Amino acid sequence: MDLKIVRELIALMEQHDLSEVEVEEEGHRVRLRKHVADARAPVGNPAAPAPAAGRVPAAPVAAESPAGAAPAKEAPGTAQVKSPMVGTFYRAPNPEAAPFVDVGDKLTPESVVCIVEAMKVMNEIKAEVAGVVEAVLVENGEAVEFGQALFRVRTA
Amino acid sequence: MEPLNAEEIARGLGTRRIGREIRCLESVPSTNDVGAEWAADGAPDGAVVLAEEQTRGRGRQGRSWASPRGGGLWLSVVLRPTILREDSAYLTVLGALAVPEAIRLETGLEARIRWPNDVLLGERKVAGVLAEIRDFPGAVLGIGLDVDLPPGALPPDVAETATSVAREAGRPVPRLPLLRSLLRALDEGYGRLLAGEREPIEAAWRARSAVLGRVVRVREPEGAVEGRVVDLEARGGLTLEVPGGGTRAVRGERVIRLEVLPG
Repeated sequence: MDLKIVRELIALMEQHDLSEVEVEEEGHRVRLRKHVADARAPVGNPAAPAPAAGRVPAAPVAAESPAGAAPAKEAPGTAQVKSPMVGTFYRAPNPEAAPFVDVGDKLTPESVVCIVEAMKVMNEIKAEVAGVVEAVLVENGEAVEFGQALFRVRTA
Repeated sequence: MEPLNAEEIARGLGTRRIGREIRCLESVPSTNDVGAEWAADGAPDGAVVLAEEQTRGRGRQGRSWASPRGGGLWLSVVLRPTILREDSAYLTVLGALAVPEAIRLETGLEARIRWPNDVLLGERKVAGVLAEIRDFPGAVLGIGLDVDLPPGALPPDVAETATSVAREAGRPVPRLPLLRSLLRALDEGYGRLLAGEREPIEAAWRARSAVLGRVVRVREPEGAVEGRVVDLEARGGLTLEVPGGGTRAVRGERVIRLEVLPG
């Protein structure tokens, strides 16, 4: 993987105060994680001390290649479809159309599940996982964050 | 009006990526749809599709974009940028930035960008940009630019707030040179984006802003908010200084309508 991309990722993490970023491209996966005192402090809570982003050096790059390690957080047999960007979540291509997917629908990794719009760029998001939609985690038209879970999918 | 011709557009165009393949079509539902199909079928980075007429030209969220025959430049560009998805908002920025550049070169008129994706001549809308990403990083950047609309071509509600390049210039404006300038401006901006030179893009985009420093009223799904625009960010954020002090952030895609107010 190009070193430039890693540098870009670090910049992105600092800009958005992210503690963890994972990127997969052409079978290579890179996960960057920052060591902060409490990475899970709620974002936007004025009482919590802000993590000193920018001054904390990014942790050594944990490169996993090729991709294959299962994400740790999800319950066994399920996976989450996450937003790759900040934007607004839409379940259908336009207000009159039916949703791309609904609970109970079967997904292939290529299935389009939603649109995330940023700055009038309509991003169609693919499931990237096979399974059955178990839950839609975000309301249509809501703002979503980078990495926010959008759908829960039963994979097993 | 003489139909556009791919060979004429390409002759001596001198761009590096944009327009390396060009298709001129007669009438299509939407050039963005044609572009997406072409992209899926292997269109190269920078491929351009134009139509004389769009029968179902569209803006965002299913809104329509009137695209009468020969009245403008209705085009879509297939892009395969090597950028992070997080940066895909820059595609809108590139599209919106190329339009004023082309208009200035061909007419001397100074167009401005009404954040996030409209281009204005005076107070009226002359162009819109809509980018769609179906198979990242494959993207389709759609631009609709009103060049010379026949009277009655626009629905009455749109006609009040829309204009055309010819109308503002007070003379006929041929489409071919305008289009070629547009493709060159896009090519330059796209080259910069790929080279990671985002600051100059953002600086040019701010300098062209119709809203920066102005008092605006923004209508969002939750209601309207007024304030002075104190900051703009290419990835989608606008910062308003609201009456009574304090600031408020607005995201580009939340905007249903943005009005620039006097003062």
